[in-house]
Amino acid sequence: MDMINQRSASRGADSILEIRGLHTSFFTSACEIPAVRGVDIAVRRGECLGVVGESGSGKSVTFLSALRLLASTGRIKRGEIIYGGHDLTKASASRLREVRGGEIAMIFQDPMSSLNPLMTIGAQIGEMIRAHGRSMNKNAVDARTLELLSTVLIPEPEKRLRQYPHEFSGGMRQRAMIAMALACKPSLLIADEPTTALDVSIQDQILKLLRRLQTDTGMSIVFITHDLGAVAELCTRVVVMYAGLVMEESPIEPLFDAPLHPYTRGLLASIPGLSQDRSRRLIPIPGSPPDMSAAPDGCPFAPRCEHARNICLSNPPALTPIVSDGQPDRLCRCWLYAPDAPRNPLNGGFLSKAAQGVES
Amino acid sequence: MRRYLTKRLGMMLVTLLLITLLTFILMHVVPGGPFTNDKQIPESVLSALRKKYKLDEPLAVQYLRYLGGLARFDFGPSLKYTGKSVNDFIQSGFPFSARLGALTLVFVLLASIPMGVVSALRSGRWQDALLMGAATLGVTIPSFVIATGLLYIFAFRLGWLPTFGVAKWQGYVLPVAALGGYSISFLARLTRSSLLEVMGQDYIRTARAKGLRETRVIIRHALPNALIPVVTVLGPTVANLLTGSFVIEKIFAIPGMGAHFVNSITQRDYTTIMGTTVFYATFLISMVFIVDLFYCLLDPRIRLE
Repeated sequence: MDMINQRSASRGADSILEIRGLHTSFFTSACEIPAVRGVDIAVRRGECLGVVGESGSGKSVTFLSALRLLASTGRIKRGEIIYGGHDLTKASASRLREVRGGEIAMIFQDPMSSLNPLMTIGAQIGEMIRAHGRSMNKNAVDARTLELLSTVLIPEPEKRLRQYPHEFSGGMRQRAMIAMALACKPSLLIADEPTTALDVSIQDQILKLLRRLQTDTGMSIVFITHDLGAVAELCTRVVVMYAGLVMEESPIEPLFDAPLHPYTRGLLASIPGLSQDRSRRLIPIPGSPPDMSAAPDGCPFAPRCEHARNICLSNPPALTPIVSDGQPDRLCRCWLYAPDAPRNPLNGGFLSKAAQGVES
Repeated sequence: MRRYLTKRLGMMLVTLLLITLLTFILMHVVPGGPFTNDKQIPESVLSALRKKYKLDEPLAVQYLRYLGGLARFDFGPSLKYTGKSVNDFIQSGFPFSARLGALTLVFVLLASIPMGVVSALRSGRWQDALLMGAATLGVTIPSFVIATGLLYIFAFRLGWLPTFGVAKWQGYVLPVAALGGYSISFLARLTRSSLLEVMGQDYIRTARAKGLRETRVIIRHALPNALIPVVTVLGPTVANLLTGSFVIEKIFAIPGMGAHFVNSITQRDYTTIMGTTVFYATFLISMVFIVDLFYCLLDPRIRLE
């Protein structure tokens, strides 16, 4: 734990947003469902951070917590959201309004349901501009709206801004959402599965748009997705989440070249097209994510892990810094990499070799 | 737009025609007639009366003649009240019924929507429990029971308000409250559930993510969406108020159209039955049409086609 704290302290200087020890739960009348169970993520200035995991891994909830946009049943139980030197979990309502949209913007998965069906696209973007720059007159707002629509490559912006969301295609709606998010030149954009609801060809366009915008504006991006292919295209660093915990954190190349965590390994094996060998079979991860209302004692991935040992089922592993192949800056939460854990993997695969590599 | 309006107006005329035809047939199927009486009336007098009101002609001819009158906005003479035409009844009664109905509608909207909004925003707390408890009572208790209760408390016990008549404005208070009770409760519950659903929608989260004030999120983003179902049921609500007003007018002795509508049926006053039915049907159909137009204004996804 001390090592982790030192790490976050040492890199605090270049972090734009730092999530520390976040615990978020959802409450039903009967029980509490912990969705995020102690997450530390630092988003560095200017980077594009990929946050990857299956549905229910807590990746969206982590960043909805960061902006305090949780549904009414959700609550941050513990932890800090450090932004601009202050903790957003303790921020006043007015400070929170300044940050939301003005400094940290967010786009969502389904651009149809995320836009108000009764307001024109122009009105929804204009509202965002006006919320953070009250002195602007109508002409200035309109001009800025047009400029934004052109930035995200929406054709005929003069006509489009008078249209309603239902008159837009899925890809165009997501472009409009992005235009809205960019309205106040945020320093951080949180994109919560922005391509999941779109056609593959449109997904690619949106990814290219996001990459270009990041190059042009220098803003940081958090890209939440379950699509590792999209992460490979856009991100420089990746956080892999599972059952409300960070399982692995790594720069992009070593993650794809030599994934550390068995779960990451499983994710990579189950997506097509990234491997050199196109004839290889896709290997799904057996089983399904744990029921979060009864979170397991040990490693939450152990029941699905082919390398699981006794200790995995009884003791939770810690997120530990790993130095492999001279690549610094990697973290993994797995007993395979714990120096003090008994070394008897059930079967010897690449993982046991990787584990040996760690020792040497 | 013009094509839609023409089509819609055509449909309204067809509907009205069907209503007149059905009412006409049903009215003549029911045994008895306007001149059936306890006392034995000589056959010669009866046939003279029938001849005078042209009831001796074949029904088809009578029906067509009636339609001809309608085209000139002539509802014909009353068969029961000599010297009075159905137009007289409508002219004297409708202003009272319309005033009662319009006041009630305004009261219903002003009371139910804020009730529903407060309930939804305070859902699960005491304000919600109180308002929804009252609304459940309002939906389940019939208007004449509410009317009697209100009369007992405010007119008889406290003496604040008159028991009957609408000569002074105070006379409208209790009738409006009794008539609106059901609709207020119904619309308040609808507003509450609709707003609760909308508040969980993704675009509300988007609005919050934009850094808008919570009041703006509710008024600009949540309410217009939540009110769509409420506008949809305004047509049926107007119909409810209308039929409910027959009972309320009787209890509070308001000289509206309700009495004519009800009495004409028991008296087999053929022209009055036809006249009041056609008049109310036209009114209702027009209200539903206006509500539909309003609905299109509110929701850009609905296109007039």
